Amino acid sequence: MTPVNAILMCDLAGIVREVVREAPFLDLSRARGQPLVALLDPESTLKACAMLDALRTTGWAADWDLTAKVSDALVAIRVTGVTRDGRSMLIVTAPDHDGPDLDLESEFMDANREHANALRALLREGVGRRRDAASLEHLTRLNNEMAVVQRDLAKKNAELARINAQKDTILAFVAHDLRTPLGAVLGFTKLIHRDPNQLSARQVRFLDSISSMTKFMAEMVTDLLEISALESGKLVLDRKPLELGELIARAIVFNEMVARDKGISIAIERARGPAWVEGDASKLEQVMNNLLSNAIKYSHPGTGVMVMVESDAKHVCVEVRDRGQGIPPTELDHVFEAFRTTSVKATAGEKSTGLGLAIVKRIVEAHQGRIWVESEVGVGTSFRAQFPSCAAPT
Amino acid sequence: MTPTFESARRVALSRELHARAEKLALATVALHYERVPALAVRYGLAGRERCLEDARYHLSYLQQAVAADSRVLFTSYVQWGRSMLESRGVPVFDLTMNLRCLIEVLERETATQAAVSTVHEALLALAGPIPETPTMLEDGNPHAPLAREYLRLLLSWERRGASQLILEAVAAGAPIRDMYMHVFQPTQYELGRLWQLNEISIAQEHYCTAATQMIMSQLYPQLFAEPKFGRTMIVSCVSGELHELGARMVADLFELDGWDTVYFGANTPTSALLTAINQRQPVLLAISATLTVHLDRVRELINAVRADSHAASTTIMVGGNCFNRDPGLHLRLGADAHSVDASAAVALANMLVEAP
Ligand code: B12
Repeated sequence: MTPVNAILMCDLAGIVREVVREAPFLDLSRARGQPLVALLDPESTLKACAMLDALRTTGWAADWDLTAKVSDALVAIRVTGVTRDGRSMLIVTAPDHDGPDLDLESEFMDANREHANALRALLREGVGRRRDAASLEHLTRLNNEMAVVQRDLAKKNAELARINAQKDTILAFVAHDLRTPLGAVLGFTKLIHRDPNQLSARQVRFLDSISSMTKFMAEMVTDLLEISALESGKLVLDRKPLELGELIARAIVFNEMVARDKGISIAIERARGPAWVEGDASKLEQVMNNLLSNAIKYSHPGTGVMVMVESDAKHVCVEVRDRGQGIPPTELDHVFEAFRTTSVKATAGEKSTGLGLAIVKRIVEAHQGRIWVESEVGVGTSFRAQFPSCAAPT
Repeated sequence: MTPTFESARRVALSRELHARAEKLALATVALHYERVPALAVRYGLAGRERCLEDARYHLSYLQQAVAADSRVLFTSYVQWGRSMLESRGVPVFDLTMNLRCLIEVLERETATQAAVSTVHEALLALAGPIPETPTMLEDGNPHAPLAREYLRLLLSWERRGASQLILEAVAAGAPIRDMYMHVFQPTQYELGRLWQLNEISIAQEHYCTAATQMIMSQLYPQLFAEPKFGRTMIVSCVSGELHELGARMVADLFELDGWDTVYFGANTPTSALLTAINQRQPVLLAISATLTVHLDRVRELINAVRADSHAASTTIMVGGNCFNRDPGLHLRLGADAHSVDASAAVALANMLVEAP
């Protein structure tokens, strides 16, 4: 490829001393020994003198637009140069040419390395400036487009938050309205049971079904109300120092009946000293009830559920461990999500609302605690909750 | 408003100017160089190329001013040009001479007086004192100290500090609307003034604007949380317009006022905009243009909306820098209303919508 720019060496008086390289748009055949201005259109003389002056005094001149004369035609050129040791190296390009590259392969360039390097640096800067202007507009467009997208997303986000809040309100509303009639159904079923008129065995069976299903529905409604209150941040904890071992012992008594019916034993192993946490008693009872009833639900008859309470200076840790079926590893990550039930079946066909563990997790976290699960299929499952401990009340 | 015969004639004249712009620019520059031969010596061939670019630029503003029957648009452009030149050490004589040559060429080459008298008036104004561009960060601004500090931080490349300043002010109870109208807007205007006076660089101005765009979006969680009452409006810049902040401010203040806003930047084709109007059925379409040279596109957009049977009844509001220079301009372009700023636009729109 023919070079697209010319390279000249001039002395301080502006006389061309060397034509290092010719360019197709110029005629430099007789340039050597001539003043640089002799190559130019007379109209450019003054300006060229100013450029030579800059080269002399500052040591460099960048992007000077001049007009050269080739035969009788005028040609626009752009000149950039540097001065070192009383000599100026000039590179001449066509003005619309973007980024002349200094071909540094020749011996001449090697001999004038300092010139060449300085000139290269200067050219790079000039190209950078020209590209910057064009890039800046592209960048602005891009930035504007991003601003549009960002506004869009922020608006959609706000809409989603609004819809979510609406969902919570509807949930709470529906659950609340279901609770009253369900209570009535339960009450009337009890009344029929107590009716002095003899019921047939068939009727008693149906009534039992009605009341167990209604109880489950009531439980579900309670859980729904609970989770919607928790989700919408309406949970207000009434926190007081309490001894967790004692609270757990009470919860065990509460669950023992159901466990005994299934032939499951519950044992507790309490910490040596008292385990104080600052907590909401009724909420923490709910946590223990959910964990215990879960453990009972998924345990095989004849096995035991183990509850352990440990404490150290900073934490109180509660573990509820069963020797049930265990949860497959792929499902383990999701057990605390609302409405996520596992493939594991309750051993006596008990139903599950799919909300128990989600509620547990939220309550534990509202107490600045954390909860996690370990499980092995065929061996059993262990839930551990850890709470910050507090000082005993005086 | 249906285009009158007069306005149709002006648009036709402007089209003619547009079609012949290159020839007119070349003739103007040739005449200028003939009158002032020293120019060639001073600026060389590349200088001539730049002179030609300037002439094209003058003609593009002139063409818009003629079409919109707004001499003041061209006058303010020329005054702006003078200030740009002066603050960059270029003699104003070049500009006046160039405009004189333009008049001669126009007289020779075109049949109507409208273009010539527009340039004449601008030349007269050039001879007079140049109007000061006042800083907006002084009196009358209830948040002036905050705005000055904000600008100072941005000019020191401290966008985080600037962001914190605003977020803290809002957390302390300052209304978002005040931040928009009394901090962001005057700061942007001040940036323009400083750039015009060659006191800050393009890079600085870009940085500050981008930072303000970001800080505005940091206020979005609060802005969009305002309750809505169901009126919809669409905001769009005309294509090619890079100035988007003003339009966004308009959209945001409507949103704050409870409107449901759809905001398009400058990259929305007219067809997409018409589709959006058909789908969303907005009560209001707001079109923003900053540069006078984009007025044609405003007119085209308005005509396209008026020609679409489903969209035609939408109330159209226009605004932006160029409209603020000429109070009657919006009517001549076929829009229904105009406001000088976002806050006034909200008030006016509410009035228009509530009116029977
Ligand atoms: C930031 C800026 C830019 C940025 C814009 C970035 C962005 N993302 O927005 C960039 C760097 C891209 C830019 C580019 C240019 N700019 Co500029 N820019 C500015 C500056 C400094 C601020 C603009 C701004 O943000 N204003 C703040 C907003 C809030 O104000 P506003 O736009 O007026 O909007 C309010 C009202 O007008 C109204 N409003 C706006 N739209 C609407 C719509 C409706 C319907 C209604 C009712 C009301 C309404 O409400 C808004 C809020 O209150 C102005 C200075 C100035 N005085 O505005 C120059 C300015 C507008 N730019 C100018 C120029 C010359 C240019 C360039 C041509 C420069 C160049 N040679 O490259 C280019 C052109 C780019 C293009 N093709 O569009 C000149 C225009 C002069 C003139 N004679 O026309 C100005 C005035 C600077 C100056 N003093 O010289 N610019």
